[in-house]
Amino acid sequence: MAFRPSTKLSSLGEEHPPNLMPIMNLFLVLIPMLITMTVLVKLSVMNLSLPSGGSSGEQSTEQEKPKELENLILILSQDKGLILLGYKEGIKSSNRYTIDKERNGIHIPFKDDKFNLYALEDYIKEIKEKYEIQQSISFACDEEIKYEDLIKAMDLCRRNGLSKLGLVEIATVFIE
Amino acid sequence: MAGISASQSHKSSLTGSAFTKRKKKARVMELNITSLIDVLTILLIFLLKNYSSDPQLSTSKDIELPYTTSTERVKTAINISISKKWILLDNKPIIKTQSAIVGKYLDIPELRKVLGKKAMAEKLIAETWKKKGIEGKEFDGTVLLQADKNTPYKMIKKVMYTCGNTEYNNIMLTLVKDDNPHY
Repeated sequence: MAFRPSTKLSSLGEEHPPNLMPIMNLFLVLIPMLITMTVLVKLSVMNLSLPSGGSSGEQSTEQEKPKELENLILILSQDKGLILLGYKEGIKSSNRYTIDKERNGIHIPFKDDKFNLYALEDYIKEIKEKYEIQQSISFACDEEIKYEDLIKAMDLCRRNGLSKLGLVEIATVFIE
Repeated sequence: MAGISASQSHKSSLTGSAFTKRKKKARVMELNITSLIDVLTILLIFLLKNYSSDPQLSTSKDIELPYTTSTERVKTAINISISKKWILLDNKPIIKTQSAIVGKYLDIPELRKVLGKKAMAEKLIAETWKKKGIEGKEFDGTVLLQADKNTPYKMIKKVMYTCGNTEYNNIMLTLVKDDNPHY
């Protein structure tokens, strides 16, 4: 008469874990496939329009007079810092940049031996508020300028709406 | 006698209900893979987040690319790399960087020769495809340019000039994407 628990009940109460093997198999196929397609360092590109190249292959040494400035031209000078040509009207000098009436632009001197890109950004924002500026800007650099500095300046201009980037030869731009 | 009787009694107990209980418990033990599934799920989410269908670009070890906030995607094109030691075209060394930079002229003849051949081959393929009525990629003169961040502009200018002379006018600068702007 002693109490004996029912075997049926105990078998019903047993835990049946889900069969995870198919998921496991799926994971083992997916993971190696994704590993091959994973990019840890994401790359991006910046489009650049080049000036039409000469056919002689010789370096131009002849100083050309500037044409009427239609676009912004940013000069990265090893000695002087940044010089942005164009759109001087209505812009006043500040402690960060000075108006250069002769060159029809502004001069941003170095700050801590580096190009003062903060001042350049401020200036671009200021002229964007006052004028309807084109989306294009050209860059002219001294030969010793580091690629990184050029890219930083280009990236800054692109961020501030000047998305059409070009390169011009420094000899074709008026500079002392 | 007492010992025998004890062992006999033990045997009888095994053949009894206790033995049958042990037999019931002896079944195949399943491996608990739930924790492994957890790890794999986290790994899968991480990999899906970093998944990219963009063309894969290999960068030379001695090239440290500058950063950009640009989100423009990398395209499939020929790849020119300017490392500290070599100028490479599709990872094949063409000329030493130091030799290329010292020249008086903007043109780099070694690079021009190889690029010229590439351009001719690409044009020929594009024309053949067009004649056969197969829709393919037309020659658009696109070049991906990778350069170390400390490369002087003179070197960049020389490579770009050479590209321009061989009808590769559409230059795309390859940079490392970063959401924070670098000043």
